[in-house]
Amino acid sequence: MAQQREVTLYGKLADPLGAMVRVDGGEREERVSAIRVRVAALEPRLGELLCDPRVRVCIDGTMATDGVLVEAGRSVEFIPVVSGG
Amino acid sequence: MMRTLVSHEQLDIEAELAALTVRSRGAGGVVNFVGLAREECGRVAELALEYHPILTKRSLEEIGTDAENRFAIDAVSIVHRAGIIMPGEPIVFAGAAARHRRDAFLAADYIMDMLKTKAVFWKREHGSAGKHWIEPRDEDHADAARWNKPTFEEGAR
Repeated sequence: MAQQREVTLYGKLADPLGAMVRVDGGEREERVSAIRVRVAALEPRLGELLCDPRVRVCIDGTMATDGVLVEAGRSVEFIPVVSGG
Repeated sequence: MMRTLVSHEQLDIEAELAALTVRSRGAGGVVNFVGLAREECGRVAELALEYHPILTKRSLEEIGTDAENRFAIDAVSIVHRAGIIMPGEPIVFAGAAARHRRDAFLAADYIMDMLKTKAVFWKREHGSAGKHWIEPRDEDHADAARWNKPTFEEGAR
């Protein structure tokens, strides 16, 4: 059964569509890179922002590379360059 | 002893300094830095600071731990605002206590340089020119990089 995956966007990544978006493919295991493509396809400006190689991915408080497999139903977070304090 | 906090409330600088001093029993001095949100000649109406529920606190703890490992300090405190901050309001309190003053000064300086580039916050200025996100400046990166260079004493060995 099709299920969507929750994706949280921080900082300027949240400008186009807000801080929380949902993408298809949540019913199965997928690589971070595939999830990134799904999120980028939601909106052109968001797609541009996600092309920045400095945008990192976080899963349950741990940073993940594009090759990491994400379990079905597990949410991911996209982390842009920080501003610092 | 380390205290780190991300706060949505206005910072009580006197209370933070008093608490750090109490935790610094045996130290010979306490150095603290208070960062304020700049008005930029009326250009900035407010500053919005977003943070991550896990990564932000962890980044403050890592900076504090690095300072403890690098300098002979007895206590450290890093308290940072989040949310909407008005010009002139305190945005950060960074303090270090040490047996000797030099370590306390260096630790506070180090903590601020690391905060400016590594702390997990996203800042957006709201003002007369609209809204825009802030990234660390070249000067901030240069300030952080100077701690990677050998000190005069280390370089002479």
